[in-house]
Amino acid sequence: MSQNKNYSLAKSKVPELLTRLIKKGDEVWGPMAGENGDNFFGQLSSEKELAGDYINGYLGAKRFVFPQIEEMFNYKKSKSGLELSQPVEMPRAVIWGIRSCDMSAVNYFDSFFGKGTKSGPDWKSGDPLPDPLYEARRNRAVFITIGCNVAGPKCFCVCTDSGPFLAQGFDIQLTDLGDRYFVEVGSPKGEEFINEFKEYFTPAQEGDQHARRTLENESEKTFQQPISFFAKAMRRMDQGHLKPEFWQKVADYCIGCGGCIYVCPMCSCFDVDDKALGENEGMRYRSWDTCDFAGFTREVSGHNPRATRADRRKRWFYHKVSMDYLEKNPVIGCVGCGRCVIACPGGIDMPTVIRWMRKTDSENPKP
Amino acid sequence: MNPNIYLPYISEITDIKQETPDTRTYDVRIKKKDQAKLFVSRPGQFVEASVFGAGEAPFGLTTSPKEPGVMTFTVRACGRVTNALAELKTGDEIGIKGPLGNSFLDKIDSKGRDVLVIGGGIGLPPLRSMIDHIFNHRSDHRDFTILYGARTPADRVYKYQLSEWEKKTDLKLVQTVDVADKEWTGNVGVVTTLFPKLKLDIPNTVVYTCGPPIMIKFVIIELLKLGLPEKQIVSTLERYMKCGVGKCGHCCIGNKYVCTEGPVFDYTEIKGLAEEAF
Repeated sequence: MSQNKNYSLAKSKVPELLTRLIKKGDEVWGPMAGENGDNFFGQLSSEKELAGDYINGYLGAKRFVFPQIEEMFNYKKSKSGLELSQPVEMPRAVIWGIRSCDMSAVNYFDSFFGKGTKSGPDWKSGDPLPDPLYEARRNRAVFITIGCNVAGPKCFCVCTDSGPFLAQGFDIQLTDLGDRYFVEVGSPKGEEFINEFKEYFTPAQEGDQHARRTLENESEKTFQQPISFFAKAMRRMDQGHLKPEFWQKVADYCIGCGGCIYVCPMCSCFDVDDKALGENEGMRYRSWDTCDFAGFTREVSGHNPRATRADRRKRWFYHKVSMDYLEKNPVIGCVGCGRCVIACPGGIDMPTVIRWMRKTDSENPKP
Repeated sequence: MNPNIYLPYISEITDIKQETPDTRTYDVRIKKKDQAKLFVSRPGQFVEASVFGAGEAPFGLTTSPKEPGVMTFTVRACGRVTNALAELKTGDEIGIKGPLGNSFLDKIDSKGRDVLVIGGGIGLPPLRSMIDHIFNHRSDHRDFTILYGARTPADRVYKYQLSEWEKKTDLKLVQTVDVADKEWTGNVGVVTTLFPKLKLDIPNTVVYTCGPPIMIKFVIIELLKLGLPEKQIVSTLERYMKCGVGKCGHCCIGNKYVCTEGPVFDYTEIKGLAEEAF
């Protein structure tokens, strides 16, 4: 990675750059203002839709790499038999202004969805398989992240090593220096992008790199959320300290809405279903699903291995913070974006339950 | 496996056998030759079968493969996809993804040992691929016993096969039903009630089991009481499953994906799971 190549981008040039990209036929995604003062990540039809400085809304850039509903293939029945067709190739996508936490979630998705090594006759049980839908979206995307000069009121990414600025894992990282962005390149893809639009990117100004470092240090002082110490909570979970009473207490506060999963940039479970598009054709699609719903594991016999809300809450937190999963993926299942803190009506968001876990042991089973 | 893990192979139903009023056995062949040759299954593996418009569902393969691209599975019509399958007839086209999952052969080697197969209801079909395999390598194994339990005599699958197996001298088949009918002269009771009648060489017996979760749970409890080593208890686990390729998350137990790391587990793996397996 050529991270020592730094550039400067004047803020006044951004509208022109985005307009050029949109005209060229690229998909441009960025933070857009919602109707109620909130914001969400979406595809821009004009640079005017881009929200200014923003705190992450509920719907982040996960919507791009892993859409809520995504076609897997189409089927068509005719006299000559069944035919399957795959989604057509799509243009390049420029993901503009994605926050560090959401980028870290994409990097986790890379290891879960993308890093397939083998398929075919050599494939053995347990070998990872590549997800072609994810790979196609990931490969056509250029991720331009923006560091956070000030933490949002519910953010805790300092506890999950996923912000407020990134050291790696981005194509291009922007730092807001007032009238301009300090631009860091994190991948060959980022370098190519800058070469393609070099009239907008000038060499970094003297002192900008130092300013970026100072901003990161200052930003880390602005976190308001009680710090979420994961390590002790993870030990509590894996050493068997969290008894049924603990999960019952969590479940008592849960209304089973699935909101935490809907907003979580790292939740990746999905349902698969067919939808008719005519008498003899239709599509197979996947859509977001959640382990929070009883139907997620209910078998046709009526048997449900996770029949109670406590079972299901335990499942979610287990998947997020157990060391068992670190064997498979290098990071815990939380990037500290704080969305569940805002979304959960029962107040059993990640930092809260992590705090409960830390205070719980076999002698004090109920937090 | 298809390089695109979500795309099924177009396949043709070549034969259908009615097993019980709600259960049928399907012989299926992948249509395209280049795709068929990629499909070579091992005992215990499963496929995701698609009825387009209804969806897809996982089914254990019931025979040891004779040639690539050909498979057999048995289906009880009880949900959306299985009921759609029940509407189909010979010659109809379905989608097949697979072979998926691991094999009984990935666990302990049963060569030179006694083999005890314990099946419950619709759990016999996936075991039959292993039974086939043992018959194909019969001289490598010592005593061979199959216990089969079903709710009623009519609910037993493979009745033609069961009467053939009963006649065999190199296999001991014991059947039991929960509720007998007038003609039934065999055992009545759950499958674990057959255990005291068996003369097992405990240190040298490998058990393969598949059936409803509640049956497997008590089979394992009883086998452990008899002192069977944990590595020698090999069971399939089942979960509601969607994608079949380790992505959708439905079949996870603890940190294991039943679809890619299973469906076959030995008891050392099952007891180490962070959630109850049954």
